[in-house]
Amino acid sequence: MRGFPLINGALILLALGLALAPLWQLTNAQTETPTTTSEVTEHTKVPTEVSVRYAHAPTKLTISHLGQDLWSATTANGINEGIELELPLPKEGIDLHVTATWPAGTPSTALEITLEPEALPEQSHVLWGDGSVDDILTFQWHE
Amino acid sequence: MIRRITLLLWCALASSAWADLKVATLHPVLTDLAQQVGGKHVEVIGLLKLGGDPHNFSPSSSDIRKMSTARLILASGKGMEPYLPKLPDSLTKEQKILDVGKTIPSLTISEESGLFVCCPHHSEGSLDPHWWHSVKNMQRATKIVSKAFAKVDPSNAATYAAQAKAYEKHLETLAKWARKEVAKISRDRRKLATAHAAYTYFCQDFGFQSMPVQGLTKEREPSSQYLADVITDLKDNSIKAVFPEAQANPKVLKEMVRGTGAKIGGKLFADYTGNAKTTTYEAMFRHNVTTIVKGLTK
Repeated sequence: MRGFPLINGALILLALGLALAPLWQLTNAQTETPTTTSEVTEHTKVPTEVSVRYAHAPTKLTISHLGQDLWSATTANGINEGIELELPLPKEGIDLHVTATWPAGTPSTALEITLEPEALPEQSHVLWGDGSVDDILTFQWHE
Repeated sequence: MIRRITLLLWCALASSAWADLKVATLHPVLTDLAQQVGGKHVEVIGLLKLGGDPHNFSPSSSDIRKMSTARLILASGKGMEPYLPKLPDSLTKEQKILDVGKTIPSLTISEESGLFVCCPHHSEGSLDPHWWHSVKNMQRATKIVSKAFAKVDPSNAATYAAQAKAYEKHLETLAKWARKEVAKISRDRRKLATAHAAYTYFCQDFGFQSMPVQGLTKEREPSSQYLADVITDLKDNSIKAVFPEAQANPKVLKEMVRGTGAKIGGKLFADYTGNAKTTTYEAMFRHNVTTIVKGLTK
């Protein structure tokens, strides 16, 4: 059972290699760099018409997304015309932060925000305010 | 000095003796709710103290004794108190049990709900009893409790209704705050990986998908297949953070997420059995929202 030392050595190395292969695969899988969130969540922005309807004109209106102002308008500055924005519209939807203020003495009133994205049906949501509103509206097109 | 202490003691004793209604609660969320609705007219005996685990709680003989003076016993229901069907045997006919969770719509695990990342095929049909993680449900529970108080103590019905309405309004402000906080997380990144499935109602309200990393409940050990699937899901969904529960040991969780790219987030309160900082429902809810937003945005 003495054999050739070279062949014996090679056999031992081969056996060790075979035993270590699955271990290497496991540890390699553990250290694999995961895809970063930003890569996964990149969404094409869709041109979207945003319009506002109201019974009493707000003095100021702001629409923001993820802390970034998308549109800030006043009665004297385009609130009636609406705006076209480029919005990311993932299937999970989009939350828009809407704030508006009315002149003192305005009764409880409604503000309707409509989004009309390219190739998608329009969608509207209504907010009620007593002098002001500050809330989140969720728009979602895909179930 | 002695006279002052005697007066204080007398006042304390008198206020509890003069409470118009005595109520016992089987969950800390209900203790706070009963106090909000009942105010000074109700003496609330919270059987589960802060730090206690409602999943492992069962009333002892001393708890039954404490309960014996209460006209109404509030339970959270939805299977949270497995001893509930037998509890009437230990009570008198005059004592009533109010299963608050009974009239609140249940959320069960199903493929169609789209609320879960990883467990519909493992645990189809399982029920989440933690209904209070939805503020809407708490508002509903407020109405239920107010009506029950009015029924057993009609002389204070108007006060209970007014206090319930004020608390519901307060909860609306809380929900509005939460909506604005959660809006800081893009909707496509709203995947809530927690130790167990205790936040389904929260997930439904705020557009999250739930991922109970260590299985559905603390009582049921997840299978190795489940764990393997979860690790794959954590990687595939690029989960940013996994949130342990306040009472759990995060070591197992740390081991599980190692190499997935996720970090361990702050501790969340599932059963509101927190610490001195979270002694009310509102404090618990604010803590959870702040922790989740911080974990998924930074």
